[in-house]
Amino acid sequence: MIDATRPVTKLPTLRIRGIHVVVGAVLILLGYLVVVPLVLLVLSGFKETGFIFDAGFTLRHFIEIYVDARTYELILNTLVFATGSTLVSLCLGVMFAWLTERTDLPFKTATRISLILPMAIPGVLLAVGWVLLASPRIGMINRIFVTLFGGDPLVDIFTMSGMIFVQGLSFTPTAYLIVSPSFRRMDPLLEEAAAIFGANLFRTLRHVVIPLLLPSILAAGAMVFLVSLVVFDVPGTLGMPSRIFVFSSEIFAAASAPLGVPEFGRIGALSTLFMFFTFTLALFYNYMTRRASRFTTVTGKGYRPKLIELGRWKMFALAVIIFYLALSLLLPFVTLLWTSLLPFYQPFSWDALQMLSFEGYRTTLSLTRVHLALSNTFVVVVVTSMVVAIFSTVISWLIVHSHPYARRALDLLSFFPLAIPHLMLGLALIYVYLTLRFLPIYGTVWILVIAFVTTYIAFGTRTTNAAMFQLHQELEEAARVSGASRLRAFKEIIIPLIVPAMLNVTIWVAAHSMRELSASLMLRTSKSVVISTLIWEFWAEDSATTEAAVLGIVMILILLLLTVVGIIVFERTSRVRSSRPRRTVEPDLRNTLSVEHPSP
Amino acid sequence: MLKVEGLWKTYTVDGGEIPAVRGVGFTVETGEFFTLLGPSGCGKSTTLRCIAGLEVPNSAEITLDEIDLFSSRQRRSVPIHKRNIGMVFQSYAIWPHMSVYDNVDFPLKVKGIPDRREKVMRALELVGLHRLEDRSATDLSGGQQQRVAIARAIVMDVDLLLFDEPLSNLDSKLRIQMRFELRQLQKQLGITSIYVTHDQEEAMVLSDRVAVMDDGHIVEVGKSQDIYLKPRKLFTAKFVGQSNLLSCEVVSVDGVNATVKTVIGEITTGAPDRSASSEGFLMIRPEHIPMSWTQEELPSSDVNVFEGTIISETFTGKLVDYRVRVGEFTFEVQTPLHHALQKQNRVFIQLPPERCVMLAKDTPGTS
Repeated sequence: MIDATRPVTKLPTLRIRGIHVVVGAVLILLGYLVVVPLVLLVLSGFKETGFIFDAGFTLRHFIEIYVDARTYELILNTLVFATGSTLVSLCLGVMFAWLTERTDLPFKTATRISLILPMAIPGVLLAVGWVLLASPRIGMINRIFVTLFGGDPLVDIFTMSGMIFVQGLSFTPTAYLIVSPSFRRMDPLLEEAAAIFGANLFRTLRHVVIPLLLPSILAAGAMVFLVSLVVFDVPGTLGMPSRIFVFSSEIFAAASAPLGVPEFGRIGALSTLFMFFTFTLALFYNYMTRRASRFTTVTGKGYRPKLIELGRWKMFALAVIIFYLALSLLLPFVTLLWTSLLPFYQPFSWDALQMLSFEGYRTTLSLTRVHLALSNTFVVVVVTSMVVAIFSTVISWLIVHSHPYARRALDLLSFFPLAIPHLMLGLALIYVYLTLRFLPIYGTVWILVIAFVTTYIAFGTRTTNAAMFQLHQELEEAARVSGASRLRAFKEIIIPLIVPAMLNVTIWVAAHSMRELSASLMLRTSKSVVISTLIWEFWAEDSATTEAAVLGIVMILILLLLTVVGIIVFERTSRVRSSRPRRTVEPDLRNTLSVEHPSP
Repeated sequence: MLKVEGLWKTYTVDGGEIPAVRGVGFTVETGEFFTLLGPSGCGKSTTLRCIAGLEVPNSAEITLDEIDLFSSRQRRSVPIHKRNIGMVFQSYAIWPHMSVYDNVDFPLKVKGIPDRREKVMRALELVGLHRLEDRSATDLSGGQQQRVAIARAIVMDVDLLLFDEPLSNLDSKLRIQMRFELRQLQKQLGITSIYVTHDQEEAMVLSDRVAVMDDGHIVEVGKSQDIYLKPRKLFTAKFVGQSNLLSCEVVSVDGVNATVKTVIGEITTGAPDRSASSEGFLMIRPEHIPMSWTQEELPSSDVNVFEGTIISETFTGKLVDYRVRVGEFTFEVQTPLHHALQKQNRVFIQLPPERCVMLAKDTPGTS
């Protein structure tokens, strides 16, 4: 019997329902996190001194940028760097995806996992590793070359091509991860059809496979390009010493001007210009992922894709992969390890071998600065990753359940941070918390937590959206009809089913907030130092190479562990998901693919 | 007893309003098995979901056993989780992270009911799954998952059971078996039930009464036999089963029989009990038309006998489908096998008056 004594709720249309309050609150929170910093940053570009509470507006900064020849050099440098690193990582990523998904390459599982592992090496450490290997003055390769053959150093990493090379290596796993699912899901019938008509391997690849995969390749390209435009650690490590500036390093330099007040007005104007590009790219990326998912839909039929036989190319392909892993993982890691075990940096020699010891680890890890950085990092990583996982889940649930307009707003607001360069977000947060002083968190680690939650919410919601849309709506409705309230159904049905995705987000965000070195540099104070900024500081002091290497090794080991756990969780998630009925996906939200986004 | 009055529901899609249900009303007696039958997009599932509370109607008066579930007039709505109904979904909606037992136990658990184990086991026994209680729900076959869903819906003493095309994801053999089991179970428990389907055979087998829906309206409500044999609306005749429809005009009515004029000549029909209009359609089902090679072999050789030509013959297994041309009209005729394999094309068919149903032209929007 219906409990007639219970008060019946009034008609929902006549009253503001609980869900509307929640949607409103989340929208306001997202707006506060995403929109407020952006508005302040843009506003500061129109102010004489860059301080937003100054009276009057000016176009002076924009005009100065416009007439300054350096601006165009900066744009050119940035474009060359971004295009170059995108091409390198895309070519490698697509080749590796095709090899591991469509051919009879041996040791496939091991290869797949190894190709993701370079993600565990943050860009700054890869760059440092390559400085130690290929700097003209101290680089091991050059020192050995000069000793053996005399003459000039063989390679110089402090060049544009050096930057492109290192950044390309670093982004390859990202490109690989975005592209490989569509290689896996592509209907092999199309390939077979082409083969039946007598096309050979390379013609099949060129005329059938590549055109079909173009949307997902372009999506990966747009993503990597976007991140290459805003990335700071490689251009900061390799470009700044030889005065090759791109947008991010220029803004970093302008913001950390050694003399007087940073040129906030100029920075604001530059950032405004720059974000115009990144937002355009982000929208293009959004559009391409939508198309990519339309082209390579899973048919649901079980099939075993026919694998292309590599024949005598098999060993060659394997050699290429091993060579890539050597360049992007092993050589830099071993070099860092070598450095960390020596009191001062020197190339390989018998004398050096005698000096190896863990002394560097002992002294470095007993420094007070290091202790502070470790505990700060721990707080930031744990809080950020949990908050992002929970907040993303709530946002995704609301996206599924709310009114179309609210849904659109939630989706866009949670996606936008992808297009905000971390450096600029860091800067913007300085504006926010120096000018609006109601939250006294400037200079503490909590401002880092806010910065990271803002940027990583984009990745978090992409992942939880995908998981949420794969849950059939009737699973929740069945709980409601069974007598569970909205909250209870969310707690007992939705959360347990979405936990794998939440774990995924937690691990990814933990790894990325640990290695982040852009916003954290901008927001760095002596109190809010974290491992990544401390590595940067040690590296910047010429005499502290060993300390930088020691912390680098510690960080890489933690990241490797997190990456491996992440891979295991991801494998388990995709297995569980496939056995579940699916929620009908609305077309405009189908772009919420769960792809690994790289950390700018 | 469930009573639905004036149910309207529109969806907003891309800024436009799309009406899904337009003023539906019906009454389901206590213990009755009532089916909403119609093509996809006719609003039957939306109607069911409004009763469950999963959708909020634009306006409606829905009462269950004298209590308002939803009332526009009184501006009241009982939230979904307090309506005390059971529902079986098309996708089964079995929670994959729970065991069979936990799935069925869930409704009892959220309501804090004592002695749950006994109730869960009784429900599982009713659907024949009591030996699988510890299994993970995802390890079951489709048919077993649907049984879990049914057990979950009946584990509470619910006032109303709702079925949203629960059998359409099963294969055809299993579907037929489940129909009978479902019918038996419902009779045994005596719970008022509403069933949504687009499968007319399913509707016939299961229901006490059937409501035929089209385009957001209820076209007609009746006992399943009447819906098939004596439809009152053209849409019903077309949607439920196969039918021959001849446009006709009433010539005379003599109390027991009526005579109508059609393209193939005059036809005698049973009395047009309520058809006030003089124009309309004459409907006869293909399997109700006797066919023979000579006029004498027909059951009663004097009324409504027509000579025709077989233009096609299709063997379907149990029956043979013929298309028989009579004048300007082509009849669909279904006969058992023994008629087949005759070389001759000339045949006689008969339209038994008691099987001829006179239907008015449908005027959409009034029902």
